[in-house]
Amino acid sequence: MEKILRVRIAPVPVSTEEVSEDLVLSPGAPGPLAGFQVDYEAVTLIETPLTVRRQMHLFDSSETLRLVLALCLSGPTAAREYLIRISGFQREPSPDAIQELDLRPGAAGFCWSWDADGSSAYAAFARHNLVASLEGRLSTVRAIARAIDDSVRGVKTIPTMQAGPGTNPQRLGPVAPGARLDLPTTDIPNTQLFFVGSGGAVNRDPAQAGRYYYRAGLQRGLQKLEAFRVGRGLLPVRTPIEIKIA
Amino acid sequence: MALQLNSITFDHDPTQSATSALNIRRNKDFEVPIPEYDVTQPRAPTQQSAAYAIDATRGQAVIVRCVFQRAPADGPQWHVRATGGGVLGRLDPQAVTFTGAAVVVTVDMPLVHRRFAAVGRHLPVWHWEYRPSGSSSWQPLVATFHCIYLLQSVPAQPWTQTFADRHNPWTDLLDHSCVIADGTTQEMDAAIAHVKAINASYGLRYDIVSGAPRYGFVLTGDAFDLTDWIAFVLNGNPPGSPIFCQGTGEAYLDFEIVNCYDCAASLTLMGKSVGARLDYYFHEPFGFLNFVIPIGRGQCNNPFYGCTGNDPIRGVDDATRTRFGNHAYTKLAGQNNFDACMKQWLSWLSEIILSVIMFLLWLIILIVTFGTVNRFDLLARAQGWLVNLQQPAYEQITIDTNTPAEAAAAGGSPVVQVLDFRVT
Repeated sequence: MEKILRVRIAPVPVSTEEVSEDLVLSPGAPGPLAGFQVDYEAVTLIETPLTVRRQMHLFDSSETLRLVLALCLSGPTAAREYLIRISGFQREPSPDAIQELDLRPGAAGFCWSWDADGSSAYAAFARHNLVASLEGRLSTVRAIARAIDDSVRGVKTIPTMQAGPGTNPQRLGPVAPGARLDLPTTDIPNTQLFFVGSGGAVNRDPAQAGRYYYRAGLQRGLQKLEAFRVGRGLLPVRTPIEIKIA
Repeated sequence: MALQLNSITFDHDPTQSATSALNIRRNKDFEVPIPEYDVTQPRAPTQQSAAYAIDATRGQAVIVRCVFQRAPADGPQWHVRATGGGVLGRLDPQAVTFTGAAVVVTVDMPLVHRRFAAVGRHLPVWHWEYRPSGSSSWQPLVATFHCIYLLQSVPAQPWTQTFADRHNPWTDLLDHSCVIADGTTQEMDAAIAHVKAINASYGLRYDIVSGAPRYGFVLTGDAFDLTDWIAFVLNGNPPGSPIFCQGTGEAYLDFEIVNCYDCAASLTLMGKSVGARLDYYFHEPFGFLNFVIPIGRGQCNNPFYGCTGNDPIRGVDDATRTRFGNHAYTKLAGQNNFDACMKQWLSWLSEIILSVIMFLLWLIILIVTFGTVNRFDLLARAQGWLVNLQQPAYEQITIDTNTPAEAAAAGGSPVVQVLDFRVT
């Protein structure tokens, strides 16, 4: 199955650009999801590949739509891999059931229906470093995929190598091995905060909601953390942090 | 009060697990506080938790580190002890000596009467007593309440014992896995207990539309969404919407719908959390199914019958029925298979016959080995559980290869995957 999907998207060259402007797709607001309301929504940060994922379950008067939008912070190549990865099911469509998506040049994607009448279908595509997958009625997932892709085409991009966490890390510490170091980062309404790092663990403070602290590991040296703050869209504000354990 | 117990530290040495409790945390966001008991920070007993690996601590001098405080005017020599303690055992009388003008002293108290025998979650209470040196009268000091998790061995990767790592075992998970595997002393029994629990205790149902995972792990590189699994499945608090197959007879809460990746990943993580060496295997292609019972469903050889199809059973060898393009299950120590995603379907007659045969086999083995070998798995097998099966037997039960078309759809073999879980 994986091989079939790779062959499908192989003719589309991998983009050298990645998204540099936040993409906010709000159900109910003007845009691809205008007719829908949100049933369930969750934002997560995946570490491999480093990806911000927004999962939405939507509905309107006649149908439901499951949508995943994922921004691969490692770039378009990682996005291609992620596209293949999230398109794995225990059920496999027959190879001749896999169809092209009606997308403009530059996007790689596919769709198929699980049943003859098209009531349960799957579509997924990648453009630049953004991946979208949709599950719902075949006609709907095709149309919404096209509309989302049009939105993605409208956001600003930058060459891949220019993106990244930034070069001026916030320097904290020193902190003794095993000791606690309060972080200046706090929760902000309507945003979600994620941390990736090494040499210790970032924890929530049970005594102070919205506060975080770093528990240093036992290894001395300079440890790198990164805070990712995600708002209503996908593109995070990235804050690199360096902590000296001494 | 003349003498005060300031703190008790169970995880006093984060670099080893033989004489100290394990490095654990509550979940991805919160640590377990250390010292686990702190007189200045009153907490619920369940938040004063520690975990021990039975294998690692066997024959070792396990201690807890206690800090005592006296009033400056009091004498330097005391004795303390604790009664009760459940699996931790009582603490024998021990001298507490303050040097010079010191008002605080640290004392290591050995757990010589501990009973670390089987997996479990326990809520022991120590009733501490003290007496000044020269006095024979014990006075009550304090009662301390604890939550102790006993694991068969140190949980293996993706769990880690590296200090201050979000992959340290989570008590939010141990609260379930230690109860599921309660009383087990063998990893196979812990694995069987988890197979049964995941399959039958949480109202989970197989995704009959596409076999899609809900909890994020498929292959090496992915991360299982353990936080959601604990909240939605183990704690029984899934979001009220969306609804799977809404408006049909198959309508259920979406997060109670799973596939075999979800079952295998959760079984691996939960089993490993109590020390069972389970690993996740991906098998592709898998093929057409014999009659099985997918999780939460009935007799079936057509697993993707859809929201309105209502035909989980098709004719034997019907080539139009749906099949597993791939499958995931677990192996214990790289050997035999354990599958929480489905059971073998048995007719009432074959179940009776198999039950009698397996019971006799179990009894014979138990008698011949003078009770030292309890093949509990044989009894589970008689009920259709896919546990402790060698690969050929497992495939023979689950995969239909009768016709050339069916044989052509099979032919894959299991490949171990590196399981991880999301900690961001």
